[in-house]
Amino acid sequence: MAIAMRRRSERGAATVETTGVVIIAALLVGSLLLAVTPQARIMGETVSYWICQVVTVGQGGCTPPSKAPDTHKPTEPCVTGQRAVERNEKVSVIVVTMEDGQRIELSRMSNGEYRVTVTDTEGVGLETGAGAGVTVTVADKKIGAEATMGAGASLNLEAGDVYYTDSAGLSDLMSALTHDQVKDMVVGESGPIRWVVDEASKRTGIGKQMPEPDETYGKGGISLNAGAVASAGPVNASAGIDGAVSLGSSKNRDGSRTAYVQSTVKGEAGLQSLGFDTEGDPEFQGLDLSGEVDVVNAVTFDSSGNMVNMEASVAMSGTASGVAAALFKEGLDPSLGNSASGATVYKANLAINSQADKDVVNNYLLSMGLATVDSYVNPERTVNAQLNFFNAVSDRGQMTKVHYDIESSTPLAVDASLELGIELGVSSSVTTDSMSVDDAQYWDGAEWVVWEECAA
Amino acid sequence: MDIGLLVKLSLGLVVTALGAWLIAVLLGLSANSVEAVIVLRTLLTLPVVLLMTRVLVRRAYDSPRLLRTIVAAALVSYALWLPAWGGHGLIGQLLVDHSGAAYVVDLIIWVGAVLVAARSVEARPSRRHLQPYQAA
Repeated sequence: MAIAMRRRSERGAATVETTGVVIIAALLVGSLLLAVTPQARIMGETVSYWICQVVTVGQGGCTPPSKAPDTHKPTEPCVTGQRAVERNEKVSVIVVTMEDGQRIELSRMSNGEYRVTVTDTEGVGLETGAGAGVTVTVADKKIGAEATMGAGASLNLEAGDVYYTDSAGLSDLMSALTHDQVKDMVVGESGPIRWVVDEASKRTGIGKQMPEPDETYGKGGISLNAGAVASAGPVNASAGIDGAVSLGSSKNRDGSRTAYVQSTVKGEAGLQSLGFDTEGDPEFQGLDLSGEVDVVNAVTFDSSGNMVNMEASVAMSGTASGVAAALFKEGLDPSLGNSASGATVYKANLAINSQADKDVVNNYLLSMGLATVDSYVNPERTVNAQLNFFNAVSDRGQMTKVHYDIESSTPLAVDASLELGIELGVSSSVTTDSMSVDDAQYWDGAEWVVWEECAA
Repeated sequence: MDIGLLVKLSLGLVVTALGAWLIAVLLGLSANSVEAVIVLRTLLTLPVVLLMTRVLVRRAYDSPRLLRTIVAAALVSYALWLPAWGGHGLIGQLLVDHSGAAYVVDLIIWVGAVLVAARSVEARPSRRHLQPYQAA
């Protein structure tokens, strides 16, 4: 009986621990991908320098960073512009918050095509308040003192369809999507009455019909979040972490299938100390980062089940200041007044043409904790496997770096209840986001060069 | 309870209201507006409900059980009316976000419409008060 009760109380713990390990491995991928660039090496040295300065309160012998120094052209089209309209409906029922959202994403590709992604998200999150006793343990360590006070976990399920079209067919596709959205809202997404309306619409020719999607995907996962704050004298360090890991698969246009793991880490991190600028005036220095890091590892199999491609993507978006601003722009000014925002997407792609490539990819996947049953990851093997993968990519694969400018606004907020004079505490809003390419480069085997097709 | 009237009124309401609702949705789709479709389906469906109720009640014989029969027919027809199942029947969806709440709002409007229509017309006199030539 006692064993059964203990088992019941520990149910789900391994999942959360595994999630933490995968997130840490994903973050390592991000840092390693950054580490292969000359700029990132300098940035790493600068961060180390400031950590040293903080720890020794400016009294230690910290090594200053060195001066910045100044065949693999990608064949895949890149996204040059994107516009999304998101409609969220949120209904709160005392304890459990249910969210029902659908997202349509329109991307303009560098080869002239348009990609339209329609995503359905259904999730039920249960959040616990302070003192609820939920503990998040990552790699045998609790995250900060406040981790047990404000931690929550939620399950997220996501599925979507992807459509490709040229500019001539875009209008019809968007029209069909709009009709489909209206039908979803006024008739429902499925059921007998939806079938009746679809059939009637088809037979009468009223309304555009949705075409078959070119690609479909679905994924599910678990997310966790935790926060920690520490403060001592003139030095302040803080971190708020919200991580999610999800597994997914997609069916591609050419008949191949891709399995992927997406890890998302978002939150804030800061490391600040009192320093002096070049003119000797005191100022706060260090780094401050607020945003989101998405790491996607995708393996593609051909129709016979052979592994043919491995792609690792790291997308960073948000606002950074101080040293961390180098994530989004050139320069390593430690002043917190030096800030930059936007989104940078790094991609490393390796076509699997030999047994050696396959071994490199297998070891990389093992290092990500994707092929192990327990949550133990050997740090040395992890770093080596990931380094080997990125070395292989820089040697015979493709690596790209694209920076986007992001604009986000809420041009339209509709509160249906208020419009009718009945305030019931529910509302719906429409937000739009758009982004465009600011800078695009690819690794030619020796250095980053301008990727003209994408930057145009 | 007048079972014949119950069946006739229930099925009559379900079929005619479904037809009106479907036409309204198809017409509203071209407007690309959720609000327009919801308003249009309400404006087309309710008159049909009112009209069908008036026609069938006018043909029915008056009796103390008539009101109970009409209320029962209103409830049965609403329960059988497919669009109502997901809260997509009338205007309730525009007033409240939750589909369960929308179902209840539409139910109140539906039953209210049937009762208003029934009260607005006089049923035929009871068979007991008919003259022999009328009963024949």
